[in-house]
Amino acid sequence: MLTLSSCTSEQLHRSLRDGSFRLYLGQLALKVSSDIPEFIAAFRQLYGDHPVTLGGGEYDFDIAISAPALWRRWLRRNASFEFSGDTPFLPMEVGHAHALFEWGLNWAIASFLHHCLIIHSAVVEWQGKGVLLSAVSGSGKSTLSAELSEQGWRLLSDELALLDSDLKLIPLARPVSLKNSSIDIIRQRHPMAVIGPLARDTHKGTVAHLKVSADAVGHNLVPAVPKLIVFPKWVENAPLRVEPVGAGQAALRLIDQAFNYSILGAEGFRRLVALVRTTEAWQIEYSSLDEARDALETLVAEHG
Amino acid sequence: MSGGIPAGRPSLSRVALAEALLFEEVEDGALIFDQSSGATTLSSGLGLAMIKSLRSLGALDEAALRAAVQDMGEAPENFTDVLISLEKSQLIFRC
Repeated sequence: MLTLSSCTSEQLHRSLRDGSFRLYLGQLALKVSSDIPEFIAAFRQLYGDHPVTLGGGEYDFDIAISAPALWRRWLRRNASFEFSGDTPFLPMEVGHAHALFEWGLNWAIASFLHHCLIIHSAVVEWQGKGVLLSAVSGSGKSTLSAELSEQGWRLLSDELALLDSDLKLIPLARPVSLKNSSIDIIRQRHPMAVIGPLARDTHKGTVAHLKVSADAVGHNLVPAVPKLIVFPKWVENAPLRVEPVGAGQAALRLIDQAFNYSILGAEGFRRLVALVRTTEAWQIEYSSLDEARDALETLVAEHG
Repeated sequence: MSGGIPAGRPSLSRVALAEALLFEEVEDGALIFDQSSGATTLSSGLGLAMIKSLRSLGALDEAALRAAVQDMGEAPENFTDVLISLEKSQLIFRC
């Protein structure tokens, strides 16, 4: 299948303008439109290995990153996120266009993919064993998942765990959102990593996205079996601490991080109970990414 | 307030388990999903023993419920506090 990086610049621009561009994120097909050069450049850089088509076809989400209404253009150059023609968010400055795309896509998935239980959690896989890394924002979840991804773990998502009715984790490998100091941490540890443009002064500070490996993208149709639930927390200068979490406590913590648990009702409850019964849950407090990775690999080997 | 029924407090009511609850035991207690409110509770120890008793025996008065949890090996200390907590969570009600 065609990948984004194999399209010519002219093909890409034309297809993004005329509505015939489709991006495939595992099971999801996106119609993506844009006429904003800054977005197109970042999109091309970060989604280069993803399969695409340029001839139209079916899609699940219709997303446009475009210039907002004329009167707003007079103030400064902005970009809007449009979803099926609606604009659920305020426009952002054009330098934030790619971050806006990623945030908007997270919103769309969490708002509409209700055949899955959706949990705010990174998902990675090591030696064929799926691991949920669930944490509140600011716990270092994305940094840890970026580090694991760069160290050979398979990344399924840095943000959203999608648990289907067969208790499989649906992959959605796409750029990892790095914020503030984590951008330089990953850049220094992995000089060859591809990191997109910096979006400064967003509501989350400075944001940049890490391109995921071609291998992770290539496995975007292969679900993972969850074996471990880990609640990671980065604490400056903290010694490594690894502790088990009971299944009931794990369930309550996952409910706190679930987007659509209340929508799914009894089905969500049954799926969550099945998840915590078939996995082990642990919490990890760490200050060193190397120690955290070693601890996770040991957990997978001994308890996954 | 803990221990037995306080002097002067009439034991007028029986206690029953709310309807529309889904109940799943896990290693550290039981997860209870209230289908009417969408709330999920983790219950363990004395609270779990009360819920199990009410599930198996139906509505009970407080004395019978206290005896039932003792039969399950749970010390009835804090019985009233736990009862009130379960009532506040709308997992049980007085009838």
